[in-house]
Amino acid sequence: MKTKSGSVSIGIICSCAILSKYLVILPEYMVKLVGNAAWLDVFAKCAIASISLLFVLWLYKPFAPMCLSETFSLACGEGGKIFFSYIYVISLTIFNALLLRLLVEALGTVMATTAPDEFFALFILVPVFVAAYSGTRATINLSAIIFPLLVVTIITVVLALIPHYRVENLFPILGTSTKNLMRGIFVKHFGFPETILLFFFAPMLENYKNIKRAGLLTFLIVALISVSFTLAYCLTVPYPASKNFFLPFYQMTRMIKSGAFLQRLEPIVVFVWTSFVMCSMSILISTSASLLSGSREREKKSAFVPVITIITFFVSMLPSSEGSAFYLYEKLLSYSTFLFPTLPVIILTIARIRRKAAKK
Amino acid sequence: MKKLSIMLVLILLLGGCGYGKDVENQAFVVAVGIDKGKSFPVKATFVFADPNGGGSGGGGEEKPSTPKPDTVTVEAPTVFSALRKIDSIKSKTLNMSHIKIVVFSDEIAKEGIRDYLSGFASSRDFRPNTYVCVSQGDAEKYLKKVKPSHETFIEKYYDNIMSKVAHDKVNEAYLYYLYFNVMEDFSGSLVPLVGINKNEIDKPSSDVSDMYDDFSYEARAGEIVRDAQNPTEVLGCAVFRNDKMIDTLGSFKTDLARIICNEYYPRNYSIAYPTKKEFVTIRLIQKRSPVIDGTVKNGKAHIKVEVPLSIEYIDAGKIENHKNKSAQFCAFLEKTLDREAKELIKDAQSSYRADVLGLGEAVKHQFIDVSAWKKFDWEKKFSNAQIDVSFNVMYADFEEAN
Repeated sequence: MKTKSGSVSIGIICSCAILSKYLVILPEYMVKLVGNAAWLDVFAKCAIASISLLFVLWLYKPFAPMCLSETFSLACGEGGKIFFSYIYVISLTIFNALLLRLLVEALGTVMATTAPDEFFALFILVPVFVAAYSGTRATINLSAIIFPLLVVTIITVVLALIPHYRVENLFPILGTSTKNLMRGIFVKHFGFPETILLFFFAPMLENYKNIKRAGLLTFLIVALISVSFTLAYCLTVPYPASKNFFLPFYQMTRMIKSGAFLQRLEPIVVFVWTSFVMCSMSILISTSASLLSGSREREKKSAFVPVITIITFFVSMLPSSEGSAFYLYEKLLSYSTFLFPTLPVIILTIARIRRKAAKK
Repeated sequence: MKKLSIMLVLILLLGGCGYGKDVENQAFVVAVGIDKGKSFPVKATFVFADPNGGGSGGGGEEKPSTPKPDTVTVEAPTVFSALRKIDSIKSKTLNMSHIKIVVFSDEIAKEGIRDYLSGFASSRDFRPNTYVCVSQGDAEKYLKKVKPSHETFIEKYYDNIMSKVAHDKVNEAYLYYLYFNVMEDFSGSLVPLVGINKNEIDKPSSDVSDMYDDFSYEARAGEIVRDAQNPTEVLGCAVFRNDKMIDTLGSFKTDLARIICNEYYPRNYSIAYPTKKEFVTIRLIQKRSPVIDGTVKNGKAHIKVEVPLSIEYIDAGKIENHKNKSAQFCAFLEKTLDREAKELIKDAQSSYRADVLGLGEAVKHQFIDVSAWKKFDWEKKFSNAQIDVSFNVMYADFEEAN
């Protein structure tokens, strides 16, 4: 994957992983704190995350194209590698499980209220397991096929909503209060922990230039989709109604009525949600399996895939309700900056220092 | 082994059949009426679509049967509780996804409709584009009296008649937009008014002598002097302050409000000109949006609204050489519209005390965040705001304008 297309594929899968949670819980999550300035909040968060990515890339440059897990051992020895790998595996699995639960609840609400959550979870996990078991490359290729369809769908929804846009909804421009906006941007994180995938896939990209290109592409896609969609949400649903708007993506799609034939497009949302989350979950499970096995070879890591899938299923069923799953997810998001960029920055700095010391 | 695993995966897909919904097993609600009950707080009326309406049964010569929508009225603590009771009456499964209209009685509307709207908006059964209106009198009576003469299916009638009011513009005739408005701390809404006619052509029950032309025509639903098969009509609107109905607007004031809100659709008007007994018929067109400029000086809001309008002559009446007299006629229209708009704004500021024209949006721009806007307290400041509305009427025809 040393070509440009390799960078694009990795960029797409990282975007899928980041955006999957966005489409399920956001922009409602942002609006609760900052109101109609949620789009500004998302824009600022994307900008800050991009700057932090560039900083991590700069720290990582001397180690390129080494897998990030190898830098764990450079920084803290083999014990450190195992410790940090476990931290990432546990965090990514919990994120995955809670996202699965939120998706299951959302699908249950919009499709079949009487269907048990376990049924939906299993239904989603079967293809996720197959994709993760088939290997990272298979999932990356699959998401490269699905992603353009998803982008077209989101663009269609955003464009079809144009008659519903009211520019007045964006004012007062700084939302609920300037203090809240600042708190939203700098304190209440909508983390981008999945960006870490880029550094785990680095050996596939073979050189620093390709890694940087994939990283920038990831943030370009994430920023474009998340900011435009949040802006569309703020333009369509005024504050304060927007803070109580359950499943915003679904509800917004329901509002589309462009003539007698272009309406009732909400089943598309189910497809978008499920596809995004399936791609994201497959790649996270596959990466977790790689970290546990310490190898990127399919034969070695595939043994861990069923174990992680089963753990994901059981963890997803732990929260007693959708509310508690959302609460836990929100709490986790608050600490997500620890996974990226805090931990990579610490590890890479130590690795650089130790490397310099070893050279001397 | 591979075949077995594929089969096992495919077995999972069979689960999808378990939630199949056959059309013939469903009862589609097309309209909901909400009145105040006697035994329970709510009296809800549900109009069900007749799936056989208009079908000839494939008999060739056989006349199409008249659709007979089934109506069920239930008293219950809430609308959703009423729906549960309907389950005991109807054998088919209720399907709310095709509801076209929700009618609130004026009595319920005066008490407040926030709770109803919140319930409907958060329920995925009610579609965002469902029309909402207020009936003059009982909603149940209105729904039972509706007798469409052109449409085979009653749902089509509701769709057609309400789309004439809403015109696919973003306004409070739709469930979600009314809900958005009602959720705000201080808002005003204009909701379409429906009613049963009481002014038969030979014996009008209300005085219509003042309504000599379309600019002074302030009739509400139920007040049109007419004779028609369908006794129901949609005309005028109910004025809401937050979630409570406080008054009604007549036909022309409603049009005027829609013009200022940029939600207007072109209509023909017969205007008494130059005397009260001579009429000129024009088509009033709004090609450009009104320019609304809001500023705040010394804690007082100043709003300037400039409304550009175009007219086309349908019938120049007795005006001789009307092309040369265009400026004079336009000035007359501007003066009349200015006077009516001032009256409407005066009512909004003093009697309704509700920003029904959404002019607060123009002032909102001046504030940096919601807390500053709340501190300004638009609810109190609206009554004292300086609002100037001016109309600029021009001929749509370029040749005539010159």
